[in-house]
Amino acid sequence: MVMNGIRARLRWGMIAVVALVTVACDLIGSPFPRFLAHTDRAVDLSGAIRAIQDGRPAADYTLRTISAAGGSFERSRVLLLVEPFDEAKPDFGYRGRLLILDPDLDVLVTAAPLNSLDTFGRPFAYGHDGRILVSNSILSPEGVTEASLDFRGFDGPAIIDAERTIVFSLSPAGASAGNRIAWRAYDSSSGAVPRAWANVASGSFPIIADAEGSGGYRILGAVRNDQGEVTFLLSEPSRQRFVAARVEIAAILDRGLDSLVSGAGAFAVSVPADRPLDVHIDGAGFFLRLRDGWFERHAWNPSGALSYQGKTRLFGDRFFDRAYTFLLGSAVTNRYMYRFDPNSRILTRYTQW
Amino acid sequence: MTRAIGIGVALLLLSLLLPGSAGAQDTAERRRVALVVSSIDGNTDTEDYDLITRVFTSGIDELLAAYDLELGTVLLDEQVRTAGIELPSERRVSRILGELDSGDTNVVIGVFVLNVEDELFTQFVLYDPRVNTVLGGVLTRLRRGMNVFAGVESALEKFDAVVRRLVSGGYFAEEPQGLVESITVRGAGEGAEISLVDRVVGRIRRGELLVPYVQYEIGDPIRVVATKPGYHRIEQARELEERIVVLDLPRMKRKTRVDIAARWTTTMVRGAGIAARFHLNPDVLFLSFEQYRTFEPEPAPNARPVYYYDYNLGIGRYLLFDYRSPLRLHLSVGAGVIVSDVGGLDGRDYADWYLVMGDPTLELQLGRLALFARTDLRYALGLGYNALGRVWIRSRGGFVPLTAGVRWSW
Repeated sequence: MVMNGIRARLRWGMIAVVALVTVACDLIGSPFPRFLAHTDRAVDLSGAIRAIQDGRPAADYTLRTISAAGGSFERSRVLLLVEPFDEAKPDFGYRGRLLILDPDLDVLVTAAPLNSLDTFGRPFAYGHDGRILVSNSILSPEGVTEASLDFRGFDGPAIIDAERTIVFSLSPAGASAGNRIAWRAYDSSSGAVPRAWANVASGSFPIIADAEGSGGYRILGAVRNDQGEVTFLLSEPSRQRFVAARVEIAAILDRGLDSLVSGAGAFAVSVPADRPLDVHIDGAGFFLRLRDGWFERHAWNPSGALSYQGKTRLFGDRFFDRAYTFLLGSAVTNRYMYRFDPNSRILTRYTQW
Repeated sequence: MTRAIGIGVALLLLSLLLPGSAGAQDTAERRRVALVVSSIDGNTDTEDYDLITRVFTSGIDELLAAYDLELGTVLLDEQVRTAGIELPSERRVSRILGELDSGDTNVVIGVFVLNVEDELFTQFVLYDPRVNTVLGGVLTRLRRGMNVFAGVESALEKFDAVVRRLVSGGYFAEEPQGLVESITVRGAGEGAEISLVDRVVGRIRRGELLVPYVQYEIGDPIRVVATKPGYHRIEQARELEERIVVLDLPRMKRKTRVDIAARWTTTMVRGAGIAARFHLNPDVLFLSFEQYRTFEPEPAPNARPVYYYDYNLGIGRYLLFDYRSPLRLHLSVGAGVIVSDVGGLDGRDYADWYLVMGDPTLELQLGRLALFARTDLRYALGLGYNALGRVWIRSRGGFVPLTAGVRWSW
């Protein structure tokens, strides 16, 4: 009896101590993100952005990184899409420009669409021939817009498969949610000058075999690994979750894929989350920016049958105008987080997040 | 030239002879007399002052002997000064009578003379110290010079009638009923000026003030005000409840003009801060300036040290409780900036400008020292190159920062 009493007191004492320590830790935590200590370098883009805005008072910003095939760090690029607007004097002209920077934040060029009908946006990716695909514009590695794809509206992710660039989109293209993914494969066989990419194959496949009752999916990203597998990250707004599935790229291109997964409950990765503010996918998982400003890192296995490895809460930034992106090079020293602050127009690189 | 010389005469214990006033007094005590010689205006440097003093002393002695009374204590001007009775001329007579230590006597006869040019104006007073009452007196005018002896004799003859009446029980003194006899003010602070009913009555010396007599009835309400430069004014409405009134005032509190503080906050644990406040209205309204900085340890190998510097300006006000309360509450608003200096990264300091939307502060007053604790409600504006963005500044766990510190005021 006595021992039981002592054990009970010890147990309650331990609970009290743990609770106290937890509250104390929450109480004394600095409001500043830890990554400040990993500030690596920064560049003021005010001049370049002012030139792009050309007197317009506001702009939308999109920040992305792209990595070349083989993971060459030197060829990785930081892309800042600046799309000025003037709510007082709206017009239909597209004035978005793409600032292309090397990973060390040296500005390489400011790119513009090839013609007035084109706009910049997803996908942001390297193509099979070392050129850069932004929306349907094909830019040289130096950032010169050289050509446009024939088919507009494919706004999903793009991957490289051997000598082809494959672009995905929901089907029909432009839908906000759906149960079918369309793809178009391009190569450089056209021989036109400047060289455009030729659409050599296309197709589509359902996300789940039986879409009855499904509210539809959105494509958040896709990444290909060295084993010829492509991992899709999707959101399912009706169920407030993120899901992921992995298939072999050959099955897609051979049109032998009946569906991405057999049913809504068959996704190997399912993360409950409301509509995200931002998602950055890579081979080992994805960064998720939640609507409350918190960043989370969700990990999965890089190859083989997809399995979820868990999540880590990183930091919070409730200043939603700020844009973040990540660059995960093959070497540990080549892993960076980039942050663009629209107020100061300063782009900063951090060595850790 | 006008000279004034006052001569104070005689304290006589005559209770044996005063059946109406003395009651059951011992016979031996009744025969004792004290004599005071004093100048009304304090001028005792005249040639014949000593002579006049001796003449009056001798005359009084003879007069008392005629009535079988004994001259006891003799108090001269010098002794009056030693007793600390230093007063303006117009109050000298009453104050000497009121404050002297009459020992075992209970009836006083006094004479006060004013010398104007060649004349001496002499006032004999018969006074009962037991009830602080003048029973009777005579006013005479003498010429100076050799005539003074005759003049003194003439004056003593007039006063003889007063003494005779006293001996025969002709005076009857009765303690006043329903009147406040004395008011003493204590406390406040040394040197504090005391006013009763808007009239300055003196300053606190050695912790108290005996208020000059003014006739108040017991039960009268009275307003007491204590003032002293650099201190908070004390104003109280009191009631005169007894014959002998002692008004104890609280200790006056110094007005705070400036204070400084050291502080520590939960969201920057490896840091410390200082603050200064300038009181526009002492202990009520103030301007504040605060600074805080962190002291970072050696960072991890792949990280840089980050030093935070927090500056803010504010204006605040004490609420609810007055300056005397041991617990006080105040609230400030203002603006500030937190500069985050990343070591080894020149020219790119983060600067988070913020508004102090309020900092409810609880303060424990310990004299000039005060301990305080507060919550800091700060909203970062997200201006310029900043780290926090446009958010409420909170700990990583979502708690509002808590600040504690110690303050010293003067």
